[in-house]
Amino acid sequence: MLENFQLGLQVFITLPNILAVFIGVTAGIFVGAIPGLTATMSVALLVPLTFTMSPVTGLAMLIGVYKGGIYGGSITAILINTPGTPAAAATALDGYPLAKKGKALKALKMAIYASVMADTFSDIVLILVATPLAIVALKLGPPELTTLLILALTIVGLVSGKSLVKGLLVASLGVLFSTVGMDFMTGTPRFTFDSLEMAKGFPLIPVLIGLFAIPEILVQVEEKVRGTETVVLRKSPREEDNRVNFQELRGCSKTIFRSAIVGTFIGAIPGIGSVISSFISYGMAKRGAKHPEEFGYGSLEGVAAAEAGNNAVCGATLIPLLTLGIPGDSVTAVMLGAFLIQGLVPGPELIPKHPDVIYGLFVALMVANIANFLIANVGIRFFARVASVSKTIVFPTVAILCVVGSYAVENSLFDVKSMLFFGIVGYFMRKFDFPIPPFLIAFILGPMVENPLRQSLMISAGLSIFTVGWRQIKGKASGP
Amino acid sequence: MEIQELMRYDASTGLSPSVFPKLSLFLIGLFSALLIFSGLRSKEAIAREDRETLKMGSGTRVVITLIILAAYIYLISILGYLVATPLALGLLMWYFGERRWLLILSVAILATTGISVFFRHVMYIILPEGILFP
Repeated sequence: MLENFQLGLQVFITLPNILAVFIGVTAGIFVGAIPGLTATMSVALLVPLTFTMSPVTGLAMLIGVYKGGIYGGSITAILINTPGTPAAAATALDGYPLAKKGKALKALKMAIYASVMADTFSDIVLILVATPLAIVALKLGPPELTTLLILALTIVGLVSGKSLVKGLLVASLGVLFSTVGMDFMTGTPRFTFDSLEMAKGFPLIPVLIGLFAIPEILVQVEEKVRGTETVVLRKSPREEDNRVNFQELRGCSKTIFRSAIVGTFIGAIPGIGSVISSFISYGMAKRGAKHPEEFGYGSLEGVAAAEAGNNAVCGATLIPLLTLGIPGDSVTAVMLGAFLIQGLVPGPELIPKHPDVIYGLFVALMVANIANFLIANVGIRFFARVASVSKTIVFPTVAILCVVGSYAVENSLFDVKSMLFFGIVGYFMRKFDFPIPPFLIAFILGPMVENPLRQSLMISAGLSIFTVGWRQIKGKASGP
Repeated sequence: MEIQELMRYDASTGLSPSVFPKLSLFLIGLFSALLIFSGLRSKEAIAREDRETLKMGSGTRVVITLIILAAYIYLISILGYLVATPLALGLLMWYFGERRWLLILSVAILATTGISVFFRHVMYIILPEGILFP
């Protein structure tokens, strides 16, 4: 592990990589601060831009965007009570009252401290857990992988929606869409309508750009867009309201630590995500607080709990992705796409096969935390002003980026058309309250289940996958 | 029974390629039926659906935006990226409610050239040049 770390450091510490992380974090906070543009969406839009970069550089940039985006959402949550990203909704509960009392800068700084501390904790857990878990996962053959992935499919279907049936329905639909194209084992064309382009199947990156970015644009256009509220960051005349002093930070440290544990735990379970984590952390902080009556009326501890809760998810969601190849939420599903276009297949073999990339990525996570801290501190005023950029400019530009980004991956206009098609699908799913993440995750996992399932049925000559799986595990456990 | 026929195993090729599509279609049918059934049973859900259909009222704006985007994708292959993009971007900004002409013009031109330069010189991707201006 230590020598791997050394390797990771050697791979990562180059000027382009460090620059990529800083650019990523800046872009992430920038986009996160604009209400309506989520962290998932910004990562999805930037994935096509990373595939000409080296794997470490590209992934490091996306990690930066993710972390920055989750923090950036808190800026407008605190200043104008409009969470920039859904994950910051809990931050607004106490952040906005604090801003009204003239303590906006204090709240923003607390958000930075809590975010970065919890994020670092989560990353350390990821680094400690990932390699041992991957070693265990490596012992799994196709039968065990199938059962594991089917389990993942059901978890995703169960947890992601308010309605169980809707989640499962959407997941089945995702599997159906994933079967489009040439079958990989027999070469049978499925749902291709005799089109050569359809034989490739639907391309992943355009699909996720369509699902996450287009619905957002369409929802915005439904009503005539009004210019965005002007966001002003007022500095308090009392200097102590503009910063977080050591006593306050120490007072909140217990809350931050608790939220970091909650967020890490939730992040490691596929399918829950940062929104729920921030609310659970907030609720727990309220119950454990000395002054629970202050919560909702401008408690600094509330801001710390919510922000620590949502940022602590960042590192931990990578645990199931890197070790088992299971994306835990929509952002990691998008990250999975980023791994795939680099030719890296997330799963048990990823860490043993590419220790340089993965440990480089681990170092990138840490550097991203430092970058997040520095850039957020220096740029507070600038990012607050960004939030007032007019929506009439932001959304049309994003629409153009969707088209160009989808085109860029394979220089194919079919990809762009797929993007628009899935954008419409995503819009209707949003309108009728169907959750999008189960669809995307099933779309990605579909072939991953089908492939080993059919392989293991061939290995066992049609016997149940369970018997074979059980024998293999037993055989390996008692073997040398 | 349909499901038995569906899972029938063929020793030479393994599971038939049609199993997954059929299985997912079967599940979609099953869950849709469940959804309709539970929707009909719960009065509260019916009331909620009503409100949701009301929210759909502004569909024309969505359709027009989609038409602009589709036209843009079509025009890229004919006029090329450099001509189609400022047109589409300007039109979209105007449709989104922006009325400051100078701003529309400058954003359309700056964003188009910015993206083009980035793709050509950083990512080495040449965006479609169209057939009219070879």
